[in-house]
This record gives sequence, structure tokens and C-alpha cells, in this order.
Amino acid sequence: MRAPIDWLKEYIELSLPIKELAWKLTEIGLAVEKIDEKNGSFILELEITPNRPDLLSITGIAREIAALEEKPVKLPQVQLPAKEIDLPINVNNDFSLFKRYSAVIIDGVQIRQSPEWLQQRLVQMNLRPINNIVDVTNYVMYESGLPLHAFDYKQILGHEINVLKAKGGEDFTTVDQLSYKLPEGALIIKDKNRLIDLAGIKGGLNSGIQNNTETVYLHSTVNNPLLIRKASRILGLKSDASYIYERGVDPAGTLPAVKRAASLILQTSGGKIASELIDLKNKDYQPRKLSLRFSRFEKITGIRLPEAKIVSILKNLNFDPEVTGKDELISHIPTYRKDIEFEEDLIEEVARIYGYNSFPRTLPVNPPPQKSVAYQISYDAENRLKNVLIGSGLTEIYSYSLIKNSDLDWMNINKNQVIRLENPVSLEFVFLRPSLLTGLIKAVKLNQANYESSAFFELGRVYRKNGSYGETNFLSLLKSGGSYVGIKGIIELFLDRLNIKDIKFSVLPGTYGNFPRIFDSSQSALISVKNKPLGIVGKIKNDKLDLLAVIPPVYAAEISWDLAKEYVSTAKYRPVSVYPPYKEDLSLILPKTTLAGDIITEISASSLLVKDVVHLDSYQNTLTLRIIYQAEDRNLTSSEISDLRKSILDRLLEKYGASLKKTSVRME
Amino acid sequence: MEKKISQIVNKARRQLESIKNLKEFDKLWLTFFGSSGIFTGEVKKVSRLKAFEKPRAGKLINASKKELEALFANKKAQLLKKGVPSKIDVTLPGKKPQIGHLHPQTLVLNDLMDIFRFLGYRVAVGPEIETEWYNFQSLNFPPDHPAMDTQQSLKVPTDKNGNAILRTQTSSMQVRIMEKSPLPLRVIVPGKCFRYEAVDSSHGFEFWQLEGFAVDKNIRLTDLFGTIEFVLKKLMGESTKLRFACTNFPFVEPGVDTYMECTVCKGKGCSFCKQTGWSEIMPAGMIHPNVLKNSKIDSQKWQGFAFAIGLSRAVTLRYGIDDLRILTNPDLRILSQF
Repeated sequence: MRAPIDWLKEYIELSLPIKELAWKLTEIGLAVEKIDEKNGSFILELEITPNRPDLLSITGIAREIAALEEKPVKLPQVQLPAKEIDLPINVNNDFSLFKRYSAVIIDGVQIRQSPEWLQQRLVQMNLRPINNIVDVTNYVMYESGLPLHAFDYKQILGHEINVLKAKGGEDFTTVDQLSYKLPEGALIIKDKNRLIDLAGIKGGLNSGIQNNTETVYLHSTVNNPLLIRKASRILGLKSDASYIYERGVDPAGTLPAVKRAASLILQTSGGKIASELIDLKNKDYQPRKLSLRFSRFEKITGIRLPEAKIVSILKNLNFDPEVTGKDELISHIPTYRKDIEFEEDLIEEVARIYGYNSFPRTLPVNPPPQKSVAYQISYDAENRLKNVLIGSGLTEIYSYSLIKNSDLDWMNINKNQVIRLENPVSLEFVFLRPSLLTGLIKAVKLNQANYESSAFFELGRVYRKNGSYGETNFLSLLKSGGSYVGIKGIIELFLDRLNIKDIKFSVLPGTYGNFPRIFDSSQSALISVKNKPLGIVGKIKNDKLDLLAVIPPVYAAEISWDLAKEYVSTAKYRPVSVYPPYKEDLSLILPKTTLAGDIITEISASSLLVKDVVHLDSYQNTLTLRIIYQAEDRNLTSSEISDLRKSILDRLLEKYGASLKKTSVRME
Repeated sequence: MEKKISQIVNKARRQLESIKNLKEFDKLWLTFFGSSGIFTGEVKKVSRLKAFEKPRAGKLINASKKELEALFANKKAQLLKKGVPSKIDVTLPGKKPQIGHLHPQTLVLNDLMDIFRFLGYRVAVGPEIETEWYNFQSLNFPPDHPAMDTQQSLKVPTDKNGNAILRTQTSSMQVRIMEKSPLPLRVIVPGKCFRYEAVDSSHGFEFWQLEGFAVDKNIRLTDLFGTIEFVLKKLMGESTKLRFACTNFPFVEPGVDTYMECTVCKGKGCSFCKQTGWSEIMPAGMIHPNVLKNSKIDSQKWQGFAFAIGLSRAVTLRYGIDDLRILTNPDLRILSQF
């Protein structure tokens, strides 16, 4: 909303310097976005919240300044002469469409350019002057917040005004000569035969003011906001009037607006009043009563204001307060303030005019609540995880949740389970991601021009539908260059640091659930925790990389973080054994099909005395491991160790066909 | 024998520590390896062992001998170095370990969670695919009202649980949490939000917010002002200047908007703050009685405040990032600055 300072001065005395006024208005809820200067005068650009259509008018803004500065508003005094003749008009209103309908006929007008002062006002509002009748209706709309429309009376066939809802499909041409097919339910006015007005949005070409118009039919209405909003949205047609109507107009304002406009028309165009003032309404609109308890004001705001101060603020807002009890006053809410419904609304009125920045700033007095809330989580594991990952050289990214069709194709993901937007902003952002890997591969691609290798992770949501929608948190890592054991090591490291136990890496099966099918199965593994599938780690297929022009090799992992998090635990301290460990290195010859992981697991599980099994080397069919034996309570004897070794080797031979190549012993 | 040998090794290690010059070193060497040295004594014992014990003992002796010799050699090298220290160019750059970077948004989020936990808040998270009820109606948005024009939603086909949109605000968690949690409560909800909006330097269709609210018997508007001030000063620095203004959101009454003095121009006015010198950072207000009612809370007994921080915006303000899109750009030349 634009508010020219010199126009405001017609209704209110302004004493504050412009910058100070701008901040005071912002503080009370009329956010000043900009101070514009046009031909030497200042114009405030205000952001008016949707609950305050009364501020879409210069007098409305003047009323706010009046409350702020404790000064009266001088509204224009209208003395409309009595009718001189009586031209017929027949209005068939429907109160469910127009709660109120006010109108008058003016005969004998002369259409010409508006006087300079009137044109000037419209220019300040960024509006093009048209003629003395149309300009007056726009002027009064900006002045009072009540949209008006002027018809050429002679074009209202049969002198009939019929207020209706469109059936749908009607043709309509606006005063500015644009044609539309109307949607069902649009508010329209018909004369005897023709559609002459798209009510509350735009007037019709067939009944608008022409250069030869002699008689003007002027009306102002209170329209059903939902119908205006719907039609305006379907047609993609907005006007200053529809903007105001969507938010709601003052139901007591139509008659004064018609009188004001009529008197300005007489002043600028000549003519005489040619009908009674028409005023159809479903009820009398009077100020509403609403009470405010002083104690409630203090309880909600935290400050006690003197009763007299509260009363005077409400008085300056035209709320006509009346103290009715020890702790209560009754306000009379003007019809233009339909946003004031609750006691809390009155509290806000007093608080904002008093000034939010005059309040002390305190902290809640009660101690913090003791109980958990619904949906509560701890970010502790996430932070521990992220610290391990950055320590491993990975950089964190946040990418968009919305991805495009080709991203899904690249991942070979079953689209039946992917959620698609009904109204995407662009084709780049249509689907909710089922995996984080497209974001990560793009990060590597973007950086390959500047960095020889790069490594990233993202911890974020992925989305699936399976009857209903599901959201889960995934952790994905991706690294250009390096090796399979390199990326696997990072995963083992963070699982270890978070004390997540019972992890297994196994050969990738033919189908691997919902993970993207971009992994090279000869260099990838399925990760499981307590035998539940947790994720996948391995090499991304080179042909997949070629498609994106990413330099191979790239290793990646995608892990269900929600599942992993269930198994995060706190490490338990174990005393360090005072007895020396006994280390020996075993070189084993394995049959082709035997997996190192199975051998290591077998040895680790063989005895409590096996403290650790370390992989030293793999060469062809030889696997070299270091076994560390240690007891908590004694020195191990050489015979104990040789017994252990023997039982391990027997078991390996029996179960896996693994035989000993050589042993070397190290002692500490 | 094993025990004895490990004692000898430990003894050597201990005694070598206190050796300060070569003379002392030579003397110590003799106490271990001289003809009547303690280690020599053990070596001699091997010959007296039974045949089947010899191989194992031999291995043991060999291993420990190596270890002892290494210990002595190290010490000798140290002592020799001490005599003629080699000079290095201390102005050479250090070798930094190659580690990664946390995203600036994580840094700000972690700081905010710390600040709020200090004030007794719990952290909660919730769904991004949401019902119209929790995102709008439960928050007192009038049906089909222009108030919703500022928050146009991205839509998905309605599922059997009524989920139909991507949440436009983390305020969608207000009623979800309040209807299921014991009172009093203090909670923050960080998370991603989505809007049907064109992308430019200060708007995105995806962005992060951090919602917060507190309900108790005596939570006041002044507590809201004080909490916002406490949090923003901790996050942005103690010299941060704030001012509050009235505004309207359907789910608060009284409604509050928070303006922070522009971190780039210090209030002088620049392109970053659209020449106003101030940035809107934290809309807030006292929870509307209808929202409490929708959470089955008696608004005459309980009251509270709610606020939202544009998390993405807070990140840009703290680090002086002039384009919101930087936050989703994975360029390491950007990310390695944090």
C-alpha cells in the first residue's frame, strides 16, 4: 500500500520526521518497506498484513497515526444535495452474495479530464488517470478502502441490477477490453439481458463510462470474499478492488463511500442527484462489544499499565472503552476492525500502541520443564558421527530434497515408490529423493575441475511411498579416487566410534532392496546390523560415471541412519590387562571361494583369549593375519597358546579348507 | 623365564629414560649385556634347559634381544643428536592433516541447539510431508484466506493418512507436539520447509527453519522479547542490536516481528538489507488461544509463546553470505571456508 505523506496530512497533523514516523508505523504493525519520493513529496510503501484490510486506505492509515500521536482524524465532511429527479432502478440483491448494497444515480454529468489535484493523487498511487468519473471512484477507494463502480446508467438495460452467481462458461469483456470465459460461481451482475459486471473484480465494457455518458449509476458493495478470491484465482485476474474484497471491507462503509464519491462527481463533473440513496443490508452494522480484563493484560504481556493508559490507547483507536468493573472494560469495536475478535486481540492493540520496544526483556521465571516432549530426539549421535566423518576427510553437504526424472533414471530406482509433486516449480524439481547419492555425485562432478579428488557426505531425509508416505534418514558418503577398503574403513570407523555392534559385510546379493542400482557388484557389499540390512558400500559402476562425465573410480555408501541409530551405544570401560599380550602372525592358504571376513570372524569368536585379529596382507591365495592373545588374569603359557592355535587351525581347515603356510611369533 | 625377561625389558626401558650422557649410557649397557650382565645371565640359562624347551626359549631370547638393542640404539641416537642439533627452517608451513568440513548450517544449528538447551528446551523433529490440518488449519489459518498466499505449498497426492503437502513452515509441529506432550514444555524443532516459490538470492523453494515454543502458566510477552534477545546475542554476538514490531500471523496474538541490525553494513543500509539497515530474522508471538484449543489446552490456564528462526537466513547473516543458494552449492572452494 502506498501512502503519500501530503495526502495523509489532509486528515491528520503529522509532527514526526519522516524516518521516525516510518519506524513508529513499522513498530505498530504497518511495516514500511521503502520511502519513495515523487515530485518532491514522500510516499511510504507499506506492507499491510492480510488481517487489516482497513489499512488499505489513506484514512485507515491516518487513524493509526492518530492513535500513535494522540491526535484526531479529520474525515471529509460530505453534504450531498437531495435528489432533483427520480430515475428508475430495480436492484435484485442476494444477501449471500452482497451483504450490503449501496448506490445512487447522478444525471447530467460531463465526462472530461479530472482536475489536476485528483490526477496527482492517482499518479502518486501509481495509477493512470482515465476520466473524472472513473478517477473519483478510484480516489474514494484509496481514501476510504471501499471499492466503487460507476456504470453508464443508460447501458443498464431494463434498469435492472440482478446479482447472481455465474453458471460457468459465460463470455465477459472487461472495461479494458480483455475477454474471459467465467468460471462457475463467479459473482456477476446482469441487467435485463446482458452480463454487465464481474462484481468485485472488473467492470464490463458494455456498461462502462464512455465519453458520451450522461447518467452515472454508482454503487459500492460488500462482497462474499471467498467467491471473489476463487474467481480471481481461476481467471488469473486481479484488481485493487479484488485485493481489498478478498480481505474483507467495512460493511458500514458502503453508504458513506457512495455519498463521498457522488459529491466529488457533482464537484468535478456537474450533474444532479437522480435517485434516492439505495442501501440494502442484511442487518444493521454496529460496533461490537468485547471485554478486556486488566489482570489478563498483565498476565499475558508481563507489564502492568495504569488503567488510564489502557483506556486512553483504546479511546485513541476509536474503541470507545468503558470501564465496567474493578478488573474489566468493555470496548466497542468499530465495524472496520473485524480482525478484533478475542481478548488477546485487544491486548495486542494496547501493547503495540504502547510500543513493543518500551517493554522490558525478561526470561521465563519458572525452571525448565522436567518431562520429555513428543517427537523429541537427541542430536548427540549425529554430532559424534559427523565428527568422525570430517576427521576422515569427508565434507558435509546439504542438497535439495527435490530431484528430476533423469536423476531417478540414473539410479535405476523403481519409480512406483517415488513421490511425485502435483505442482512442481520446475522440471528440475519434481520428485522427492529416494536416495542421497545423486546430490553427492553432483558434488564430486562439480569439484573435479578444481580438485584431484573429493569426498562428501550428507545426512538427510529420503522419501518413499508404500500405501502411505514414509520419510527416513539416510547417511550417504561418496569419494572420488581411493579404494573399496578405504571407504569401508570409514564406515567401520564410525560404527566402531558409535559402538554399533554385530556388523557384517557380505557379498552383494542379486537384489538389494531399495538402494540405487549403481553399484558394481564385484566390488560392493551389503552391510547388515544384527542380520538386518543396513546399507550398501562399494564401487559405482564406471558406465554410470560415464553417463555423468565423472572420472572413475568413485566409491560410495548409503546407509539407513535411522536403523543404525537404534544400535548406537555407550562404550563400557574394561580395565587394561596387566599381563603381556602375545602376538603371532599366521599366513593361511585359502581355497578360492573362501572369504577373509569369515576366517577373521571365526578366529575372533574362537576364544575369549583372542583379543584381536588384524589383517596384515592378502596376496593371491594367501591371507596373513596377526592374532593377539591376552588374558585378563594371568600370563598365558606357551602351551595354552599352542593349544589355542591348534584348535583354531583345525577348525579353519575343517570348515573352510584353510591351511597354515607359516607362523611367526612376536612377543612383547 | 618369560616373566623374568619382560621384567628385564621393562627395567631397561625405565633406566634408559634417566640416562643423560654417553658415559652413563655405556655403564648401563654393561649392566645388561656385559659378561655378567643381567640379560647375558638369561641367555646363559638357555643352554641348561631341556631339549624340547630350547626352541621356544631361543625364540623368546632372540625377540627380546632385538627389542633391547633397539631401545639402546634409540637412546644412543638421541644422545648423539643432542650434541649437534640439526637446524630446520621453522618458518616452513606446517603439514595440516587432511580433514573435511562441517556445513555452515550444521555449525549454526549446533550453536542454536546448545543455546536453547541451556534455556531448558528439548529438540524435536517431525514429518516434512504433512496434512493441511497441521500446516494451516490447526494454526488458525482461516479457510482459503489471503494469509495463505505468502505460503503457497507444494502438493502431493493425498495419502491414506491425509498427507497432502510439503510443510511450508516448521510451525506445523506446534499442535502435533502440544496435543501429545505433558505441560509445561519448551521445545525447538529444526527442519526443512518447502514453498511454491521462484528461486532467487533470498528465496528458495526449500529452506530450513527452526521453530520454538514454550507453554507454562506464566509465560509472558516480555519473556518472548527476552528469550529472542538472549538467543540472537549468543548466536550473532553480544553487540547485536534488535528491535521488535507488531505483525500478524494467524497462529499468534499478540504477533511480533524481530528486526536485527544488518550484520553487513551495521545499520547504515546496503544491498544486503535492501537499504533499510535492518533484517527481519525472527517472527514470533504469543500462541493464539485457537491454537491452544486445537491442542486441547485451556488457554485460561496455560499460555505461551512461539517463534521461528529462518535457519538458512541466520546462516547467511552470520557469515555474510549474500545468496541463499550458496547453502546448497557443494563447491569445496566455498565449503572449505568453514
